Amino acid sequence: MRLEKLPVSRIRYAGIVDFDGLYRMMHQWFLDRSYYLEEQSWKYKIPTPLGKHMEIEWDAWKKVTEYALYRIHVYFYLMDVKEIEVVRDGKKEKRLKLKMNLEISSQVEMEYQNRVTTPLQKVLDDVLYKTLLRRDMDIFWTDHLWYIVFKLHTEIKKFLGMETTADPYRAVW
Amino acid sequence: MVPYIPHTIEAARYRVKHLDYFHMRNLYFMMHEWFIEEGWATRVDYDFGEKFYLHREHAKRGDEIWFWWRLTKGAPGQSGPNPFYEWHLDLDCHVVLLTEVEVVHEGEKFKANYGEPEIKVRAYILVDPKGTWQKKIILKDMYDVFTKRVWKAELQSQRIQLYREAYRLQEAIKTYMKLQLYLPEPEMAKWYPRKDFTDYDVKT
Repeated sequence: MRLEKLPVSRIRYAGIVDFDGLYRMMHQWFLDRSYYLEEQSWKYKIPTPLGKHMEIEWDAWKKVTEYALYRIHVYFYLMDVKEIEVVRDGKKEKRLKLKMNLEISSQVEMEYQNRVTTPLQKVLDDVLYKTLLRRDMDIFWTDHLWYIVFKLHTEIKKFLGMETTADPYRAVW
Repeated sequence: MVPYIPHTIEAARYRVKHLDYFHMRNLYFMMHEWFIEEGWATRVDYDFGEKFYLHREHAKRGDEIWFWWRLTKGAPGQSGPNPFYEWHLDLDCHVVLLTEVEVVHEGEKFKANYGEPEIKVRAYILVDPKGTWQKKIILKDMYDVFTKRVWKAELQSQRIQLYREAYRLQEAIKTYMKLQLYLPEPEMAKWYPRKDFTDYDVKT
């Protein structure tokens, strides 16, 4: 299996957030794009007077062809989480006051089914990759996945109400 | 057979030592996060280069902690890491007189520590780490010409980049410990809690 890793995108946010809404929005975002999603870990750490710590990891993947697969890994680290009540449109709602570190890493995996086993197959796979598929890799798969991740990044920023939510690449892919 | 020892260029060497109330776990966590964010390590725990950890308890004079981190990173190249260079950062942390104390911050009691952490950092570059030039007869003779003449500017550039990165780590440690900084924007600017738990201000 070959891996082509893309740069990690990070969002840091300190403030009050509807974390339940963010969690559902991101989950739905992956389902809408036909990704298979697994929640690999959910860690809850003993609360301190500053609040509790939580660590969540998601692994999402999608088969693009018989040969290539997109994988997106989302890592949430929530620090100093405290539940508070806010009044919105005259109604009381629960929100979380926290510090959040969100990392989205992605990679394209080729020959993900591990069909290549013998030395001859490995040589042929190498030739296939370096001659025919290299161009697809450079200008199609990695590029495509990068813009997909960037769209998720923008959606999160929009949800959190950040100032820089404009997506200059909305017309791409 | 004599093992191959690659050519080493030291980029930075410093130590930070401070005696005060602080939070040991937060300091450890902050440095760990810094290394992950800068690409020196991954979030996979067993990949992290902590080669040694010692905790010696002493009822009267306080605990002693030693930990050694040995981290490696590919040197940046034009398209991906440059295999001719390898960046190394060795961090040795020695904490003495470590005792548990309770501090009050904004009316709430916290468990914190009192002690003297000393952090020593050495950053260096390994040139031709796998010996792809040095182990070959023809390339071996050309190695000096290339490293001292042809690639001299690139080698200097690598050294300066690593020097800056190592000092950014120092800046992060000093920000945590609330020591004097000389850059206008501190590293890890108020994101991770500092030694006195002051970090950010969220208006509720």
